[in-house]
Amino acid sequence: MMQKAVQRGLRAGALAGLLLVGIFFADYGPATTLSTVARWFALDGNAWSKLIGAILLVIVGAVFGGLFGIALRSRSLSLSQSVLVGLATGLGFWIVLVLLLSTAIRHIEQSLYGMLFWLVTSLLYGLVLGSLYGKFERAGGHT
Amino acid sequence: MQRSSSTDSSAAATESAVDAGPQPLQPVMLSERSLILLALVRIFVGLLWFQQLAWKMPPTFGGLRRYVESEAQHTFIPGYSAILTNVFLTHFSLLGALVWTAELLVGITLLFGLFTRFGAILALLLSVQLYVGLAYAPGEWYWTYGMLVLLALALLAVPAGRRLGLDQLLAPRMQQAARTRRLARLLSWLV
Repeated sequence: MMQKAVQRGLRAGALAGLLLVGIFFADYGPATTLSTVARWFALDGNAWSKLIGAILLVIVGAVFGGLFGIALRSRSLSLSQSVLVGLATGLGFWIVLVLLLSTAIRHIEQSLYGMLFWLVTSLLYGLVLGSLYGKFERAGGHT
Repeated sequence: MQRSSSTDSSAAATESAVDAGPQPLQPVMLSERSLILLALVRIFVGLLWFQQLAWKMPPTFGGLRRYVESEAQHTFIPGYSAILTNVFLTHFSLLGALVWTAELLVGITLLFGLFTRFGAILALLLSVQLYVGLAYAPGEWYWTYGMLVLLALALLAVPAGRRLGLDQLLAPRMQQAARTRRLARLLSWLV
């Protein structure tokens, strides 16, 4: 039961992370925001930083999705509950990656718009994670 | 001979069905993949609007003034230039706050699929305004704003928030409430 929940979370999280890759690609750079993600992990400053940022986002998305699956391991949730827990996970994503890692540890400055952008995209990640997890759960049955 | 007779009767049946008048159109059911694809379109259109907040942030709404001035010079509707110059540009802070808030609402509603059709209506109004003001300004491609209008219309036509959006949670509740409440009937159309 736990293993299936984690698998569903990993899959939903990786797909939600992939959506963020698409969103972060579509900027004035293109993909300057993906370099920022690489910068969080001190892996920027080279020709591959955008690709590294994209891969990191999918991995981090899958990790948060896996944690989401672990948290919900034995509970049979309605879609509403799954989406709400997903949004809470998105908020956690923002706190851990943007507030702690980016701002507090790596000292990357954010404009007002930047803070709003990261908050909205993190919550969107959570919304998509919760929606996809609920969809996978219904498709596969709650086992 | 018998076979021929069977073919004839089948043809006659088809003919009589055609004669009976037009058949009612079957409702179109979208597949789950199509709905997810529509949701992705909704999210990226929401991103488009959300990103445009960056260059017109409060309190100055800096980048907006240049565009409103350009609209006042190049609009193709007679009299609209006077409205922009005498009403909007003279009360620019209020205009900036309204435009910024409206675009934030469009961005949020479309990104999160929350009352998506309300966001699409707001996007349509803003896009039509941009088309009227900027479509024929020098250096602009008129279809840029035409496409914004068409995208908003497309999102108005389909319930794009019911996958990967909060409307998937609201829609059943709204539809339930719509049986007894008029306001809920209106709101249920917006999800």
